[in-house]
Parts: sequence; C-alpha cells; structure tokens
Amino acid sequence: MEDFQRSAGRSSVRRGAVAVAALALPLAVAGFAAGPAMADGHGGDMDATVSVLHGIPEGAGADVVDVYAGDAMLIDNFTPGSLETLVVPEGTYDLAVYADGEGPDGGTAVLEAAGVEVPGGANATVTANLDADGNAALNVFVNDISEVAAGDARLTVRHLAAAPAVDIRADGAVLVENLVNPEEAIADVPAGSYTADVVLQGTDTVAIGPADLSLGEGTNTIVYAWGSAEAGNLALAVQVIDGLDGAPAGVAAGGGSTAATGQLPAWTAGLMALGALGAMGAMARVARQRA
Amino acid sequence: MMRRPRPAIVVLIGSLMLLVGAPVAWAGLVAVGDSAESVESVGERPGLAIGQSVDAAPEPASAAPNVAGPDVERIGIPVEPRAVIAPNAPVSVAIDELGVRAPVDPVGIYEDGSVEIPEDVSRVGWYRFGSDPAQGEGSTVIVGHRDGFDQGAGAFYSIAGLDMGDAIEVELADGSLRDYEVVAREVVAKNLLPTSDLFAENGPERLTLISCIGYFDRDGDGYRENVVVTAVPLVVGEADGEPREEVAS
Repeated sequence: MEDFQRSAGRSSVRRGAVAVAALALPLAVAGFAAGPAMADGHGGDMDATVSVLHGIPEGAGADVVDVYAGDAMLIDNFTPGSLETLVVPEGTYDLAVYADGEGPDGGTAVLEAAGVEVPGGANATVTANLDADGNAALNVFVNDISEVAAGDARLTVRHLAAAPAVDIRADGAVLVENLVNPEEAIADVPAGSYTADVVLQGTDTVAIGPADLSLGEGTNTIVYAWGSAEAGNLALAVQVIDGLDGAPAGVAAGGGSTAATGQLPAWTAGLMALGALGAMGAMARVARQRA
Repeated sequence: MMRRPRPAIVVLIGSLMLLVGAPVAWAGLVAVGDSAESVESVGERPGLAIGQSVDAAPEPASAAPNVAGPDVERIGIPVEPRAVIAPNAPVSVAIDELGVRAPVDPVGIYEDGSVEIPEDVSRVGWYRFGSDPAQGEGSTVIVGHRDGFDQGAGAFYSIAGLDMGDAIEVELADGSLRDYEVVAREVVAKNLLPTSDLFAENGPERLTLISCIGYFDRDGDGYRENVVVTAVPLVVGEADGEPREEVAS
C-alpha cells in the first residue's frame, strides 16, 4: 500500500469549476489525446469521447431513462449508477433525458441542456445528478487526459451528491478539503491502492466509504460522489481512463563504479588485509626458521 | 630445528599475491568500464512502420449506428473498456553467452522519475509499469546496475559484449520460458536515452535490457552512458535448437 502522506507534499490538488451544460466545452486537448478510440484528427472531421453518468438515485423520478442527442438516441435503458462511454462526431448537441420508452417524439424531457458544444478530440463526461438542494441537474466535465508522469496515477473527484460540503480522504489523510456540489478536484499521486472515504467537511463523520480505491499507473481514475444524503443512498461511482502514462525519466544503472573514489572497496581492502596478515605471519615464521 | 620451512614460504608468497593482486584485479575491473569508445552500436531496434503513430488508437468500428428498436435512430458508438491482460512477469533472465543467470524483481519508479533498480547488483528489475511478455506487444524492460561499489560486478556488467543473434532466455511467473535473440546493442548518453521508444507499451514485442557504461563521473551522476540491448522473440524454426515452448497467451 502506498504511503499517501509521504506523497502529499508533492502532489498538488487542482480544483475545477464544472462547465455547466449549455456552455461550450473548452478544447482542452494538447498533443496526444490518449483516451479510448480517438480518431486520427486530420482536417476538421474528428470525433470526441463522451461518457455519460446516470447519477440520479432511484426514487427521484429518473429510475430508468433514455438519453437523446437531438432526435437520435444516445443511451437506451440507462439505470442509476451506470456510466457509458461513446464516440460521437464533433458538433453541437441538444441533450435530453426522458423516462424509459419516451423520446423527443411526444415525450417530456426529465432533464435537458440545449446547445452543448462537443469539439473534436475532447474527452468529457456528462452527468445527470442531484444538485446540492436535491434537484435534478445536468453537468458537463472535461476529463484531463494529459500525460501522467511515470509511476503516477491521476485521481479526479467530483461532488455530485445532494449533500453538504465534504472532505475526501485517502488512507485517513485529507486530500481534498471542502468540496461542494458540483465541484471537482484533481491530483496526480503515486499509483497504488488507497483506502478512501468521504467525510462531512471538517469532521470525521464518514458520509461515504471507506472503499478500496485502486489507482492504476497511467490512469485518470474519476470518482463521483452521488446520491442523496437525506434518502441515505450516497454512493461512489468510478470511471477509469487509461493509457496516459509517460515513460520514465531515465535509467541510472551505475550502482557505484568499482572506480568510484580513491578508496578501495571493502572486498579489495579485505583481501589485501588478509594478504598482509598472512605475509607478516609467514615472514615471521621464515625468519625464525632461519635463525 | 627444521620445521617445514616450505609451507611458510608458500603462505608468504600466497599472501603477497593477495596483497598485490587484489588491487590489481580491482583495477582491471575498473579498466573495462572506463571507456565506452570500444563499444560501438550495432543492429537496429524494431520500430514502427513509417507513418504509424504509437498513440493512434484503433478507430471504433464505423458501423452504421445500431438501432435500438423500430424506427429509433442511434448516435454514438459505444466504447468497450479495453480488455486487461494480466501480466506474466519475468522472474529470471539467462544469458548463456555471458554465463549470466539473474533473478528478476518487479520494480517501479524513484522519486526523481527514473526507474528503480535492485540494490543487490546480482539481481535485475522488470519495469512493472511497462509491458510484459503476456501483452503480445511493447517493450518488456529489464534494468540492472553495472556494478556496486562494495559488491563488484553486477549481473548486467557485460551486456555491452552481446552481439546480434545472441540468445536471451526469460522465465516468467507462470513457469513458462520465452526465448529472444539480440537485434541491437547501443550506447547512448544517459540524458539522450530514447525513453518513449524503449518503454513503449505498444509496437513490436521486444525485450530491452538497460544498464550503464562509460566514463564514471564520481563527482556527478556516475556513469555517463546507458547500454541498451534489444532482443526480439525467437520464432520457432529460426533457432538451431529446440522449438520454443508453446505458451498459452
């Protein structure tokens, strides 16, 4: 198990403001986009990777839903706690969530967000979740798919629950303080297994967890806190984007040259000492015999 | 009284040999490592075809949008999570040409971002965040110290002496064996080590051994250069030995 506290000093937690639905997704792709299924990107004809999270708990009026982009269905039979990832052509979309079986043709949307711009090469997650007051909302997050340093994992935490401000802890140490709905926080940490929990801000009162969180090297592991505190169904959902790891900085395989310093290494000195002692003893014996 | 003078003289000669010989032997070891000028690079690492990008992911199946039910137009192509192949880690590496057989430990990364290397120089390390022989692609990297100040020559001390066609055998965690033949040997300045290539997890399947060599800067960062040996899997029929063991992949 990684010693998280040792690394806390070198990982810095970045806070993000969610890009609320109906605003354009910023084109946050630099260099290679290492998410799954990125198209080749020549010219203007690029796809984007869009994940959708159903983060509205059961009993809140959206138990099984269909998700539409304009007149075309994106996801069928979507249940609470599910996450689906699709490749879509770049473009501007009117997203709408309907009760299962209903659609734009005669149905009434449970949630909608018009004019969501999805640029080519983007990697984003759209969430249907409760806001801090318990009302259904649609949010859009851009996922950080920039390179992760060798040996590290990226942890992204998103507060999508009808619950007050929380702290996120890993192995008992607070990693993110005072996270509110619908904020996110991101940190690159040493890859490994951590015991994570979510506590009410400034307290030790556990709201969610503890849960074993495995942060794979080279992944962006995105953890969503969702559900309703009042209804007692707070939970964690996890999305993993892999393939982001960079190569190591180098290989310093010197060890220590046998010519490292003017000093003799222990084995040489030891053999010489043995030789010296033996020589002295033998010379003394030879001298006595000659006498 | 004459009491076996000869053994005493033998002991004397032997002791003097130790006294003089030990540092000479040490100096001899040192001399080999002093200069990289005598090690030329040979061969060629298997690379990607010209124009092929390491990071290009396969296009999603560009099938017509699947239809959920009658008259429902679909948009978007679902992406399935990549199937994870459990690693089959190297546990031992044997290089008959050098008379080397060394145990392999899984290693990670030091704080400075360089690859962790087993401190016992008779052991070598498999970079566990890279590829392994079960993946069917990419570079399986094994690193080892050239030597240790108090330990003498390491398992990888002489890998710069490997040549094209030399055999390397790796035993894996599941007990199976993989055979490789050397196709390239290079010496590069440490700060120019092509890490993206050498540690790539895709591209042709290969085995990469890395150690250090060259001038030892005692006031700086130690050895100035890396020696890199690249080997490719031996195909059945090409070796003049036994066929490679069939390994379930």
